[in-house]
Amino acid sequence: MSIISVPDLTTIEWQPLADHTFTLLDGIDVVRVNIDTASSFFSEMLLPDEVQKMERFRNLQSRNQFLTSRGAVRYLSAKYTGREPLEFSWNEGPNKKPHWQNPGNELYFNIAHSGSYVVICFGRTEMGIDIERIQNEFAYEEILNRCFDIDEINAIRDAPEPLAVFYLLWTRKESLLKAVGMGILDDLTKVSCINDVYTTEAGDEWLLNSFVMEDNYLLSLACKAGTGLIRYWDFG
Amino acid sequence: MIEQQAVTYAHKEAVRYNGTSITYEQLNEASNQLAALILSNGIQTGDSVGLLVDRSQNMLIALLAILKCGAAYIPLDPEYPKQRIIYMLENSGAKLVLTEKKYSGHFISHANELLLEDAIEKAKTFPASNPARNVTGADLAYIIYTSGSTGNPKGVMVEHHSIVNLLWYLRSTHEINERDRLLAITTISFDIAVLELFLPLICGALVVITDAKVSRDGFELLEIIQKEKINLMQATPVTWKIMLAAGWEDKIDLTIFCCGEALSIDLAMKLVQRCSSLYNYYGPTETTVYSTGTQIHLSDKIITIGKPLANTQVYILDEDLQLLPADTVGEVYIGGQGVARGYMNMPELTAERFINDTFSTGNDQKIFRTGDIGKWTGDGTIYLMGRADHQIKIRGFRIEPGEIEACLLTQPGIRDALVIAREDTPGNKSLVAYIICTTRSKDPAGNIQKWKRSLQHSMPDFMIPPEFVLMDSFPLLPNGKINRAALPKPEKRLHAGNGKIAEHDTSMEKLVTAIWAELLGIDDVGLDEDFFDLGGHSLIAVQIMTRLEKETGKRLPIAALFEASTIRKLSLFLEVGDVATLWESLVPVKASGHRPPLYIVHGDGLNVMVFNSVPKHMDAEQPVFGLQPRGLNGIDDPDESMEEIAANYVAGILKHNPEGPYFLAGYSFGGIVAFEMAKQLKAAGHEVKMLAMFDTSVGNINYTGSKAKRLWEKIMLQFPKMLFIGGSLFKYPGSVLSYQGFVVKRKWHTLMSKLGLAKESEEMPDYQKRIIEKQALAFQNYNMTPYDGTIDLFRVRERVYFLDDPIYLGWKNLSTKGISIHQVPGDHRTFLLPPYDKVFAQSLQSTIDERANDQ
Repeated sequence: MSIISVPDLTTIEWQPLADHTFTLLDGIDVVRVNIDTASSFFSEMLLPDEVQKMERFRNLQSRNQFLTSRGAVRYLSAKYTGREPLEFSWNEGPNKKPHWQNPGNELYFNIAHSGSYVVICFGRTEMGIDIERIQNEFAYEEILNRCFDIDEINAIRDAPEPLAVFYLLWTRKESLLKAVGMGILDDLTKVSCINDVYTTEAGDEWLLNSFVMEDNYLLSLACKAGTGLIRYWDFG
Repeated sequence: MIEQQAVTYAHKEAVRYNGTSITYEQLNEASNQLAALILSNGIQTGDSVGLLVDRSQNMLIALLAILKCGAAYIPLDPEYPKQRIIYMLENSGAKLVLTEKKYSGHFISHANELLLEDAIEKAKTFPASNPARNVTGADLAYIIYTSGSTGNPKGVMVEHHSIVNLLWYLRSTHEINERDRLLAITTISFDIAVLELFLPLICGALVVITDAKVSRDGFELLEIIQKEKINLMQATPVTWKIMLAAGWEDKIDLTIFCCGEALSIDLAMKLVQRCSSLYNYYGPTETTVYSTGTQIHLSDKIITIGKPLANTQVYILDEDLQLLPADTVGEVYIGGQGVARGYMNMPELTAERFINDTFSTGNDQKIFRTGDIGKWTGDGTIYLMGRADHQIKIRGFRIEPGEIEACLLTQPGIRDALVIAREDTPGNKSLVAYIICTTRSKDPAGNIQKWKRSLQHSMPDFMIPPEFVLMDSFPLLPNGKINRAALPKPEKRLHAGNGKIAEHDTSMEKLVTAIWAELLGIDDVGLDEDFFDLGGHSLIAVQIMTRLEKETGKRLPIAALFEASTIRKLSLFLEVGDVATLWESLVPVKASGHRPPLYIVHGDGLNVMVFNSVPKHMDAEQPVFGLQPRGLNGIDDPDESMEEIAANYVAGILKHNPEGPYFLAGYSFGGIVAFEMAKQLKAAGHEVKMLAMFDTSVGNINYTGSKAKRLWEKIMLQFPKMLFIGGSLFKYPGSVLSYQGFVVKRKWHTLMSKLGLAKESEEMPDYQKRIIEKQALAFQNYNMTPYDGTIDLFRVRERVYFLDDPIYLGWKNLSTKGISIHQVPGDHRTFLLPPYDKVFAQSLQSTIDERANDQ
């Protein structure tokens, strides 16, 4: 196998969040927030220990990424549940997968950030999300053996745009590992994401949805087969 | 007041203990009858009566009865040394002691002994009406003995009006009523128990009394709070911490009074998120339970002790007893209704601590000198900074460390600060500042210079600590206070248990630094900066690990970067991995920390991963190493005898840490190996500070029995469990894989990858079976003789299989100095796993701390 079956890499249509009624049935909402324009909106939405954590980051970009990620997930969780942003207790499961200790009802989320964007997905079952800004000079070749199996490596090398396929497979793998709560493994090569459905040993099927965003970001979302409609919202 | 409630709420439940309860009427009548009986024993108003009983409803009946007689009660804790109880009875001149059969004759004194069980039975013939005693506010209610910093305990004499003042204030402030349910957990020899027992009773509320065992068990406390629908509870920070450690995550509809010790901002924020409201109260015994208090909110940036309660005055004074303005540090003095009468039969000490109140207009008022150091904040609350007796004298100057600490705490980058005087070289006492930073700075030396410069703006030179030590956390004593004795010397702060490693040349650090700088795009990365704080993420982690493999030939799991997330730690990881090949058995579970390392012997081949979550809940400076059997790599031959297995491990430990002292532990079968190791180390003249068993059972082995019989018994004891543990790991290859971050050796890694792919199979690889067979053989031929030292036995609470000796697990006759039992939650397997791992780890750490201080 040398040619990857690339799913629909079309540009997503992002609806303004202002139009959102925050009803969430069986589907998934993906919300993107632009760190450069929106981070200050969240400055009052962190708990003291989160502020401490934020202040540990070396550079402003990382701080704003943290502020936006944590603030936005609090703000949006509050919208879904009719509660206050600071009421939620952050908790991390094995492999650092975050969840609310006290979501009120079944509210799952997952967060990723890269460059100027934080993306958060909300749903009623486990999912995982990853975003990477495509860096044209990225030395992907030297880490191929560490991350991918032979089919994946061939698919990358044979592609007309190897870098794009590298990011595609990387974000898929990350979103899948985050979805199943495995965190980063040393055996990345064992989790082949060459197909857009990944079947675990237990027989669970995970759908891997990937998109290009604004020409220079790759976004992947891993969700269980049978999950409803995915909607995309722009925080603005 | 309680008599009044007895009429209003006659048939309402007043007290509940251990499933049984009595009503207000029953409580009042029983205590009236007992009071009448006590009076018939010749007790009069103004006398004092000792009370030495376990916690129960009868304890409360007895307390009330003594008060109704117009006498003062003296709580005596059965756990106190007899000498101390005798002193208290003599010092107070108590005429009578109420006690229980089991404590009968516990001490010798001139006081008469009255057995509570008999007395309550006998009192049933006495009138149930309220006794005709007119108890006034100026009468003594209780005498509580507090430890004196030197010499004998001091009996604090508290009058009725002081208690009434406090209880009324709390009742009206918190609007406590007959619907409230309060949990009383505190021993009556601590004055805060007054509030727990009497506050609900004057409000018509229900008081649920716990016994001493429940009071110390976070799991049981959480359970009883739910079961009894408790909505009000008072406790010290230690109790809240054990409840958090027991897995308290969900919000409970509970009003919390925290008192008795300083409340840290960390603990406060955790509590605020889990309860309906949190109050921080402060007060010494000498001013009756609480003198100041405030509600704590999520938005609070510092924790103060709030403002004085009703009819209470607080003064912050300098050495000449002059009032100090806001933000100026001085000693805290308290006046008002709460001030006690003084210390029993200690006029000089009373005069020294209870001085005339020159600030109020009343006659003959006293104010109490607390010995606490604090200041007024801008908004009229009080911020406490420590004890006056921590005062230091250096070159004749009196120095208040709290003042230096407070100034340091205002500096950017400092989360917590502690200043002490050290005399590491005799005759040369100097100040050392211990700092916990908010951020991991790239330039610690530069920061220290900055902090010193700011101190120079506000204090004289002799107050500037010449030495600064940066720490991740302060070492703690079992009671939660900072273990000042365990603070490290400033110049000898190592980053590993072994000086050699820390002094190793830093070419590895240079290499790692260069790779990080390039891949993170940051030129000046500090050795102790965190990968994630620098903006690192998993893609960069993969790049770093790939590049390091290329440069050093060592392949670390990517997840290693999550554990070793600084250049210093990662370099150490790479180096230890190198060194570790010298001895096959030693595997770092957590390599960093300056304290003497803990060595744990694993029971079977796989268990190195089982311990991974344990160091997370231990002291940040506590290194932990695992010892795994030879032959696990599938290449070497396993050792034959117990002595040989132990000798090999001992050699590994001595190479790693030649000086000692040694802290050893073993899990399951590994406990027996550790036992033999401790003996060998001692025989070679080394110091073994601790020998701990993690649920290792040696059963009721007949040590002189036939070999065949012993073999069968021993094998039946250990090996089915080991197979069970091994099996459970095979079932979850996902979690096995994710633990790779802690494993540094390449061979090990390769093995684990194989195991991870073993799917649901419970089949063991042949070489592993071989190890277990060899271990069984070694065990069979091992002749156990007693060890000359204490054995710390960590025993699980839940027993899922039968044991001959569930108390000592067979160890009792194998130690000449005794067995110290530490009960931990969970079963033989789960006590190492969340949520139980935390309690276990903390119990383990405090045992290490305790043994470290043993002589």
